[in-house]
Amino acid sequence: MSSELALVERARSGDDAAFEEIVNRYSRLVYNIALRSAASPEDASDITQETFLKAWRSLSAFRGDCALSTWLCRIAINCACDHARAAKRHYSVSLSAPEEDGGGEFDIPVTDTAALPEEEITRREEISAVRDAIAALPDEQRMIVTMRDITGLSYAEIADSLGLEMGTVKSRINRARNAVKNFLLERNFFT
Amino acid sequence: MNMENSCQDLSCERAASLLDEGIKPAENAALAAHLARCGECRVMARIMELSASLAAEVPVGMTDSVMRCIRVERTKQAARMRFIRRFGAAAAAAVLVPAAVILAPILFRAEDAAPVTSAEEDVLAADTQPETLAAATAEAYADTTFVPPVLVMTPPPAAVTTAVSEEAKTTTALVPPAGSAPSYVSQDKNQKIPSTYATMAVEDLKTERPLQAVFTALIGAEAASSLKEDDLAAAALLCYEHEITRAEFLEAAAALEVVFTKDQLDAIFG
Repeated sequence: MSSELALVERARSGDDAAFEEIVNRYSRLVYNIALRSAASPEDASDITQETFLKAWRSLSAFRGDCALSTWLCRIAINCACDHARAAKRHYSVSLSAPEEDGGGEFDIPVTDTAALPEEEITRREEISAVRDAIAALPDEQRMIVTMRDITGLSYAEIADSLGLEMGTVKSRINRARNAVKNFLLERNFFT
Repeated sequence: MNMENSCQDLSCERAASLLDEGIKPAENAALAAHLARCGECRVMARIMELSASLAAEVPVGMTDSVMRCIRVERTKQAARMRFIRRFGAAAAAAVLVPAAVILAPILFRAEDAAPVTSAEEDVLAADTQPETLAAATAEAYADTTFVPPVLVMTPPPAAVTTAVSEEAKTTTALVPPAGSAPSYVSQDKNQKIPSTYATMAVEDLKTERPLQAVFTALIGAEAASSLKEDDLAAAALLCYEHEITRAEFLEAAAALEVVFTKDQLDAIFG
């Protein structure tokens, strides 16, 4: 039995410490997927909680046929979709520029930019631009590029999570990356 | 990717592949040399680096928060079982319609007030996907001779409702006058819950008055000052299932002049 399956087995038998270990291992992955679909960091936190709660309820359904990360991704994506439907919005603007009240999830701490090295100012502008570029992607590309380039999932895990062929995953990621690049070049970044 | 650059040592495809694998230019001289020459690949490398930096840290306390949710969920599952045993099949069917088909065997056995078996708890714990539930039910009863009846209970089965109603006739003293609001009188704390109140709670639920159902169940069960854990758990379940907020609950309590302690409210709303 793999260590992952053993961990699930322990959690299934009521060992809270085992489930806590699962949450610790995968909350960053789940949270970042949730962020791509949520309207706010608070919503993303809610989706993350719901994901783990559903996972806990369904532990008996996990048979180790896929990686635990894949299984959790599927649940997270379903939760995110449910959440978006409930909020009558689909894959909203989570990656858009921070709101005026500072509600964006990738807010960079407000500091006096005059005090920062020019290189750091440029980096922050670029990060902001990449965030905007990803936000502008179609839903399917945004989720897939998030899974690959932000959370670092493997192609196999992404394919499994989304129920796609590996080739489809690769081509969508390529299209998404090129779209991001064009978005940035059109705005004179990296020139 | 621009194929017309002057890269000699590495193709753009190979460079893209290395970048995709997470190889850093500092770790691979050929890649570094390629990026130094190829502007488009350099841009892509920079975008991928910046994308990776977009990964957000999980908010502090997320794990604790999830584990707290799970403890609450576990309590609710136990409450659900207690609620079923206490209020019988009709109330349970009204509350648990989405899971009614799978829960049918438990609902019918609940009237025996039999101890909850681990198999039943497993079925309840898995209330997510119908397929999973069906499988869980089959598995739960695999070692028994009991054959769970398959029922669709929307609305609750007439036979069960009738049975409860018939029982209600024997306790007419507790039935509020027709057409009036339920009478939220205190009952002797040792008295078994009158079926009338269970019936009223079910009616409240069926007519989409979950808040009233909570109070009917609570006050029908015990005096507010001596509510037991089971009563509070049942109220917690109803409030949870019907998204009744603490503020709504308190407003109704004030209107009914029923006072709950902070501990009781915490037990209901967490």
